[in-house]
Amino acid sequence: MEGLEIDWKVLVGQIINFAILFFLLTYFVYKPFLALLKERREKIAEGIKKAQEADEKMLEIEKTKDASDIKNEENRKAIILKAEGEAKTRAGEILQSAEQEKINIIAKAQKDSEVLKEKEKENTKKEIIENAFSLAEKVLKENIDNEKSKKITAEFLNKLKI
Amino acid sequence: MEEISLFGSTIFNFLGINFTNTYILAIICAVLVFAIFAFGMRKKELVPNKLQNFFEFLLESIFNFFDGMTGNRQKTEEIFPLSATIFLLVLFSNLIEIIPGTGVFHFLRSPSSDLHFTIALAIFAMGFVHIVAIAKLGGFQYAKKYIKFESPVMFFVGILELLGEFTRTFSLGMRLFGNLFAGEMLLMVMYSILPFILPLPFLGLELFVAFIQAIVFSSLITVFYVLTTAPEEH
Repeated sequence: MEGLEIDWKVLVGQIINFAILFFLLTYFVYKPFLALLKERREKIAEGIKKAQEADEKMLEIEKTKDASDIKNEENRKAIILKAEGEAKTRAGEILQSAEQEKINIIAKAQKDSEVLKEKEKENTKKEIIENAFSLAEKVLKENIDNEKSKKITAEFLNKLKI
Repeated sequence: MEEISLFGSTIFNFLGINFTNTYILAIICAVLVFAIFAFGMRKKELVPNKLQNFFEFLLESIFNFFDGMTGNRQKTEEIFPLSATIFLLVLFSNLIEIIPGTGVFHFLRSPSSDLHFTIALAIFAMGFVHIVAIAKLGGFQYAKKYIKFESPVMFFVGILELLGEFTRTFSLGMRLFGNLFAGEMLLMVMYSILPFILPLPFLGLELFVAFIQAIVFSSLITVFYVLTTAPEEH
């Protein structure tokens, strides 16, 4: 068995061999690998941050939506109440005006009927007078006896009844 | 049977450098490791394909393993390139031992069973750790770790710690070398007694040892890095 004599040239050669491998791997493999890891970590962290922000925004939007829903509901109710009130007022007005019109129409109809009644009365009066005159004429012209006169008068009165 | 040697045997000599079988295999291992991982990670897309995903899974598993040891992501990112390179290269070089015929054929010997390889790794790794520690802590703060004037005892402790750095480096190299060399010798003996059948259970054992030793070496470097770059506490 040979002694423990180090061949310095081989030793330095081995160091150089390892050093070359170390620098090549560091430059071509480890650095890009660590950069990739870092980039991926950053991307993941960024993704998580964005997702959290999106969740927060979503919550905010939901809160705003809920608040606006409540406000809308209140507005809707107020509008409905207002519309109902207005409708009631309007209906009252319409009813009042219809009632007034009805009264007016009835009054007018009564007035018209009274006028008509008066007219009819006048006409009847005129007709009676005319008939009385014609009867008198007839009586005078024919110079009839008392019985005939009574008959003619009875006929005239019957006519009047019709 | 080959003559048992602590170092690899020279295949050829070029420019005065002895290219031993272990040195050549170490170069081949380095090329393989780089080729495989550079190929696997060539696309570098944010949404990976299956191949990139597989290699990312491997690297991330290694990264998370070291991260669990440092407990500090920034420190893990600093030491990960070195620890991962050591882990991958040592694992590859250890696994060569499992190829049937290792130790029998002249050209086939695990680089990890050569003291040059393991010591070279330990020297480079510890050198890197100390250079980064000086850069991070500053020369004065770094020196305070080893030169202590609080009391004669502390001064002696500082000297011991300084010596400890050298012994750590040496023990790192020796540990890996010892395990792999012993494993290789064991397999060689088993092959010589009853080829193909007798080495089988030992091949399984060596597979386990190969993995464990790769983890141990890279983990120790990670731990040393964390300890060395930590500021001195009073």
